[in-house]
Amino acid sequence: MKQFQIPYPGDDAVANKRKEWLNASFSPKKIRDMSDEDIVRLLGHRKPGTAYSSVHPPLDELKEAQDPIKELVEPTPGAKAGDRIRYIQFADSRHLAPLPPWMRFRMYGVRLRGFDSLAYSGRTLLEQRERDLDKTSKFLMETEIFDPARVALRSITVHGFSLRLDEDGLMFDARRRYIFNKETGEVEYTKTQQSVPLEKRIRVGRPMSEEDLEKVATLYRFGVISPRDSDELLKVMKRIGELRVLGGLRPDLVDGR
Amino acid sequence: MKSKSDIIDLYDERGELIAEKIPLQAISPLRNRAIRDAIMTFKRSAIINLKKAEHALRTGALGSEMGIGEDCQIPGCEMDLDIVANAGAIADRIREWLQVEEGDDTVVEVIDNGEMLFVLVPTRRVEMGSDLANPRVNVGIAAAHAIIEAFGLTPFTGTEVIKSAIFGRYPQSITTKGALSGLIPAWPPTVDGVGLNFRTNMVNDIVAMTNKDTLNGAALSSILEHVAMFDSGDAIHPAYERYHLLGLAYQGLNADNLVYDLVKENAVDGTIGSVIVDLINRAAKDDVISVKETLPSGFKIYKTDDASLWNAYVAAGQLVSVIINCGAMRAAQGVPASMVEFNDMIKLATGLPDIDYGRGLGTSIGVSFYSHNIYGGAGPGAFSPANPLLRHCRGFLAPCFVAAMCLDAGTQMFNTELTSATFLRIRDILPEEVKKPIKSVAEAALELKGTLR
Repeated sequence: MKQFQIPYPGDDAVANKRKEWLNASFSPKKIRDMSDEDIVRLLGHRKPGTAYSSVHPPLDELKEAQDPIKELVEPTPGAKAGDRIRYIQFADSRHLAPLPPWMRFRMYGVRLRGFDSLAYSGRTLLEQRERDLDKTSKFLMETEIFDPARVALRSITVHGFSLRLDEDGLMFDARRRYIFNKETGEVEYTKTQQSVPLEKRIRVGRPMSEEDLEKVATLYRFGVISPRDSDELLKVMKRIGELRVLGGLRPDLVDGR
Repeated sequence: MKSKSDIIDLYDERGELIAEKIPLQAISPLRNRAIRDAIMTFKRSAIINLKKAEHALRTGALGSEMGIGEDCQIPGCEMDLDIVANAGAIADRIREWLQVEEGDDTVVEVIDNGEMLFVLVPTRRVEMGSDLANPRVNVGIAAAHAIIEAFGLTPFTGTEVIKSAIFGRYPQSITTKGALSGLIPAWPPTVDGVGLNFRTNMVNDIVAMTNKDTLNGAALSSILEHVAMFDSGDAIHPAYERYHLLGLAYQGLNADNLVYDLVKENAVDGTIGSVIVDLINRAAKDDVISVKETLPSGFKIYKTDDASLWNAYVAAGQLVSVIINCGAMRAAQGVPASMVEFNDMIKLATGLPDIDYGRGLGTSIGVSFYSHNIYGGAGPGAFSPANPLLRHCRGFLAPCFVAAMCLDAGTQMFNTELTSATFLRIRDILPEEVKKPIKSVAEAALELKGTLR
């Protein structure tokens, strides 16, 4: 992947953490190991060990009209093989999830080639060719992006997550896809993201403490870093708003500003 | 405000210079011969699907429109006419009746052994007409009369249903769903507002016409979009005229090789993020933007002395981010996601407005929302820019959709073969201005070099 840093205004802890995610060479901390099989089970698209299904023949076998752009742009391994497009969807809590939905979406835009996403009402969808998605899912589940308590894997019945935390500090889930194992202190998934019961539970590790979450959080909030203290970000946002309004009337009103 | 005396270089889809130091006005739809010819081709066109008419008459499935579904079969009025086999004779009659003078620009082409007729009515008929329905109505009526004469029909032997086979249930319904269509699908009574006709082609229609050539597809889409802006009054102020011409040049026609260069730089290992950084660097290098202020954190707020040119650069960058992301996936569905992320991040990275002053971002979010998740509906190829979801961004989104569908390797349910088969069948006989607009527009622009200030 190309190395670059997308500029971002601000110099407080939240802004600096956001800048890290907007840096292509940033390696988030790996905090757990998950087997490939467990990832495939949680995704629920196919049985572990089975072949990838395809939506079209491999690109090498396709007869396509000549196009210089298709010759230039390198397809991902999944696209080359003609894999079906599959999804993973996360719900990120308003209560100090490492990446709120819009930051997760931006992070995808910085790091991923060949993806489709959507940040909508607290859920962030990610769709890729299946073998690409397996690789990305492992990265998303094993690193600090995933906190077992404040981030959840949900493809259906996402609602309710941001309104309250359960007694164990987990996000409320109407489908009860995961439980907090009080003996081990770990969160365990009992169902796939589509809420289909798993044959055996999948452990996803211990939730981070409130203090640790505050360190990794990329959300301005009262009590941590107030959004009103993000002077540079507010200045830039106000400027963009003003220029959009002026340019919306007539583009040359933005000239020289 | 900047003057109209901008100079651009035009490059083709392979990144080769084809027209050097062209005045921006030379690509204006008001001046450029190739764009005017392409537009006239669209306006003059009519397509008659003779096989569909034959089938409708044979089965009595006429009108093709009910409150629910498409079934409307009238037992007892079936007619077994070999229309396809007699396509040559029908075409000759239509040509004879349409042409104003012997040897004028009337075109009647028989396609697929008579299954379809592609017609361009003479320019003089379009000049005489009051709206876009004129060519199509004339061709439809001509076809009806030709069939009636070819088979010796009378009011007692079924002439009344010939019209239904061609025009569908119009005028009982405001739509036509018979055998008649055109390069512009818009049927005037159904168009939802003024100046939208050139935006009514589905994304897949443009993909089919340009044979899935990514940059030429984006170019044709961009031409139609910005012509629609001239058509709808959005390009009437000098500032807006320049705004649209720069958008057409940099996003649609690969001006200064900006699109091609950025694609090449990011083709193997780039992401949307790297396209953003490369675009900012390129804009700074070309003096389109400069640093206005450095904030205490080191963040640079940029300013521009030419907001229309910055918008054109952003439009080009947005197209590249779609080409890189959807091209790597070889799937079209990521097009709104690419546009959302590109615009969201570039505005915060520069302190300058995103595409079309926020309209592009807002529209992209709407498209994401209504094409995914619980609201998921049609795929990107089935949208037309006149769709209420897409129409709010004035000319800069549709080319990205077309590029994405050109790059799709077969993941979409609403693919070109399904929605736009007619255009795939006629693409070979379309003029170069429609099939390869980048080269044609550049050649026509060269003709104007030296004649414009």
